[in-house]
Amino acid sequence: MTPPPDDLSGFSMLDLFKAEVETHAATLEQGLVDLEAAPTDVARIEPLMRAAHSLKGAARIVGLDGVVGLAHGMEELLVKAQDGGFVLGAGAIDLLLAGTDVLRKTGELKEGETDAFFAEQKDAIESIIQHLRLAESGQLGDAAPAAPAPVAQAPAAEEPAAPEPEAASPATPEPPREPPPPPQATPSSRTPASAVRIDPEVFTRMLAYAGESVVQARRLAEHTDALDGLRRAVERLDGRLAAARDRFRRDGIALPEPDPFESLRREAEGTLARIAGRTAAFDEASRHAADLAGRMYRQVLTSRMRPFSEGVTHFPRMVRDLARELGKMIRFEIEGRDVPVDRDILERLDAPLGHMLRNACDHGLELPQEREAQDKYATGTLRLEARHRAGMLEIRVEDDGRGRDPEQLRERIVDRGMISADIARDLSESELMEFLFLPGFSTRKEVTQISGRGVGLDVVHTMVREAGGTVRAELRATGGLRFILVLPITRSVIRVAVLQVAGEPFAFPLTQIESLVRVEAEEIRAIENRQSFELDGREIGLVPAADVLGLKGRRKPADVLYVVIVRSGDSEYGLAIDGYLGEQSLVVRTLDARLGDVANVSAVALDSEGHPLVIVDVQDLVRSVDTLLHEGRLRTIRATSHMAADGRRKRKRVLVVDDSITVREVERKLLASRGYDVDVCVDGADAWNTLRAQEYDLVLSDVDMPRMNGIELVRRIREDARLRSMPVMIVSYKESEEDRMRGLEAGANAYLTKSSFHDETLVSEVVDLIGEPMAGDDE
Amino acid sequence: MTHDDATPEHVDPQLPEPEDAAARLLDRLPPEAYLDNWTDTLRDQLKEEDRASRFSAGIVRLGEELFAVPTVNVVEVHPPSIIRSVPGRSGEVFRGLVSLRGEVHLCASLHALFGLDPAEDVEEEERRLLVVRNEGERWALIVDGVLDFERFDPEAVRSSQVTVAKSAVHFTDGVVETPAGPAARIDPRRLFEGLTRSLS
Repeated sequence: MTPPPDDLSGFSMLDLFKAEVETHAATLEQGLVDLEAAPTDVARIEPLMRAAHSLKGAARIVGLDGVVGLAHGMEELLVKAQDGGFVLGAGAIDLLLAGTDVLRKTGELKEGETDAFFAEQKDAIESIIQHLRLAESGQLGDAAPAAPAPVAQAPAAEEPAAPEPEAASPATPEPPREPPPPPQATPSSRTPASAVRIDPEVFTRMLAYAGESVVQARRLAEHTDALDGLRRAVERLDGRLAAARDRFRRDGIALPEPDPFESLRREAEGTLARIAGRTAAFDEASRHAADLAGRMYRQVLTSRMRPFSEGVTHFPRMVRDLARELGKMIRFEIEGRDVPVDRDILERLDAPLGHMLRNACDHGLELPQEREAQDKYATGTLRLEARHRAGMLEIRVEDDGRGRDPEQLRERIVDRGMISADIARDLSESELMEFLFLPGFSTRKEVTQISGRGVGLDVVHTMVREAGGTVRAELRATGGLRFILVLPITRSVIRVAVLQVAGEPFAFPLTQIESLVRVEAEEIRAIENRQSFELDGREIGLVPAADVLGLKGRRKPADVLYVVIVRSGDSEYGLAIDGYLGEQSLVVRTLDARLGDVANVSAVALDSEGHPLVIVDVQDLVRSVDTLLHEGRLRTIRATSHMAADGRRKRKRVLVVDDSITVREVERKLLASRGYDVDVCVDGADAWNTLRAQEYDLVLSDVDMPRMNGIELVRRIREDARLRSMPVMIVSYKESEEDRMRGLEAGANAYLTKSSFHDETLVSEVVDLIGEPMAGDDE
Repeated sequence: MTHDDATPEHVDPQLPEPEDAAARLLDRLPPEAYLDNWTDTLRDQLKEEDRASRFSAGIVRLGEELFAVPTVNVVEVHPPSIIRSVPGRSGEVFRGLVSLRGEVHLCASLHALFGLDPAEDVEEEERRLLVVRNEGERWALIVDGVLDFERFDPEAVRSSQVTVAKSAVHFTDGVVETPAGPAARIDPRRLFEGLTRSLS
């Protein structure tokens, strides 16, 4: 036997079956929905028949006998429709779709799950097969089977089905119920090229090398400059030779024949010509290398792109089912199927697009009779369109339904007390539409089962924003609503502002920051140890970025602060940074898995010099600020010299670790009032992270804490080369000798009970261990 | 072996003159010491195989001390490069990320891991990033210099640890003698455990 052309040895039969189900089920689903729209187009049945036939064969090979009969029944019905010329009604399409769902489900089963699945679905499958036979013999009628399809939602069986297109007899001179078909969408003639599976690690490395070759190729240009310098040096030498000869001539000094200067100059000029030739050749080679590196890099990046159609295959079916359920007639069009979209973006688009489409079916498009009463085609049109525009991916979801009444919107906004009637009157249409995306703002009071689900457009807004994009809505001139989503074409490349924090550059995605501002020191106000400044009439809390990121900042007092404004939800802060270094496009890479989830960091990239650049997760950062402020753990910014009151003398620093806020605060106050600089942590893990980023003179820890207890913390401190000599004191409720021993054995320098708060024991013990708060006071 | 084909029994005595000469050339006695040379060479090759039991290590310098890193664990040696901190993770041992040939590596200070005092008299030009691996995991380590790669007889590993700084003992499993002085042999398993701990 000859081996198969492709090496599939790495895949099990079940994997292959899965892949086959994926392909054929998609064909069936798409094809059935299309067929329903043009039921007399017999040519559309052929590929469906083949898909059902292939699935039958595949199911037999892997021994899924439970669905062989089902696929067979589907195939038979399709054959009959193709031969006999009878038209498949909505009921039959429902059945075939239900069958497709079952087949798809079997493709998703894991090994060992099959028996249970078939035991459970046996009757349902049988029922579908029965009904398929009925349909085949022409006894099904138009309604869907009474027996519920096992996977798809039970179609409303008794409800009069949406008027069948074929019911409209050509003899009856009725106004057209459907808008004229769009210009024949050219079905993608090129078959999708077979995809290559690639190890993500290999891909990452390929991307790394491709990126690095761009950096290296750019570096070659520096050598062109060096060669140029060399050329100029020889030119100068030549000039000096000429000058020297002229001087000899002027001074009347006879030169021997042949003129030695002549031969020297000839030599210099020959060298010049050679250098020039070399430089040109090198220049060309380096430009070629840069071009090639650039192309390779873009190509590697492009390999992450998938056609838009791949992410939207299930929508036609969804819209079709919804239309049937709602008794509406909807024509769903997708345009821009071939538009390349980053795989990651495509995945993130799924939920928001689904939501908007459901919304349009449910609220936007009217019932056929309503539409006809308004002189519209009974069939509504819903369009989903993707295209590249100005370097971004633009997606439009538009319907020709009832749209939104701007006046109603205006009223509602005022009713909700969002703005005053006066202001509302002056809002433009586009400004009004922005309210649609605010949390809790839904223009329908009742929540319907289809699009309600308590999910509003604000969720769409959030999701799109998380994918690095924006969304807006507008009323169409012809009636209906249009949503426009603008997203980056790829998430592999993002635009960032490079900001310096604690002496190091960090990348902040441009889509995630509000603005960058300069704040004069005198504009900063301090209220209860919190600093803030005013920006466009808003009071913005000021926080040192270095502290939030846990970096050891060398904060110099300054007259002017650079501040980046960040926002997430209701929180808005100004983060003080060292400075702004520029804007850049970065190729995003995932962080090394060994680092785990790193707070405030989303990814890493290489800057233009090829050095790593950490990309900050701004949403996370804002949450961190919330937490830090809540726990009072932020220090203030030394803006100017007068604010940096007690200058350079270093206070001794103590870290208090306790999961009880009361204990934490009591300890903090006791020590702070004595003059120590005190920070707090909520558990051992928190403390461990803090200890590794900052220097302390003493740790005061509780024993029982979540995540990492005090004993473990002490043990880690004693194992750490840098920290091992730092004094640690345990303060616990546990008073037994055994507990005390346990603490001291782990390496604690002292063990106190919490009753020691009441007297001076705690403070005096601290002084014994590390001395007075101000360095030098006790020496 | 082609010259074996030309041994006397294959040579036809009736050959005409030139071929006869060729046969005689191939048939001549080997030059003096030729066999001895080959014998030695082959014996050396045997010894070479014997050396499989020996181990090879890169000798790195950290301040005043020398350490031997098993060659099988060494990927490459780079000149120093810019290290960028990872917020909330970078500390004394784990320093941050470094890009070497476009690949981003985790970078750690061996000084800090071993609890040694930072070397003061190190020439900046001698600093190196030593990329090491163990079971598919890679780290870039900051060292004060990479001297050479040497082979050692396992017999020559001494257990005496007197010359190793106390704090570094945990990461080593013996001492070997190198031309530059005694070097503590690093135990890759413990080294990587220590590095991993520096991340948590």
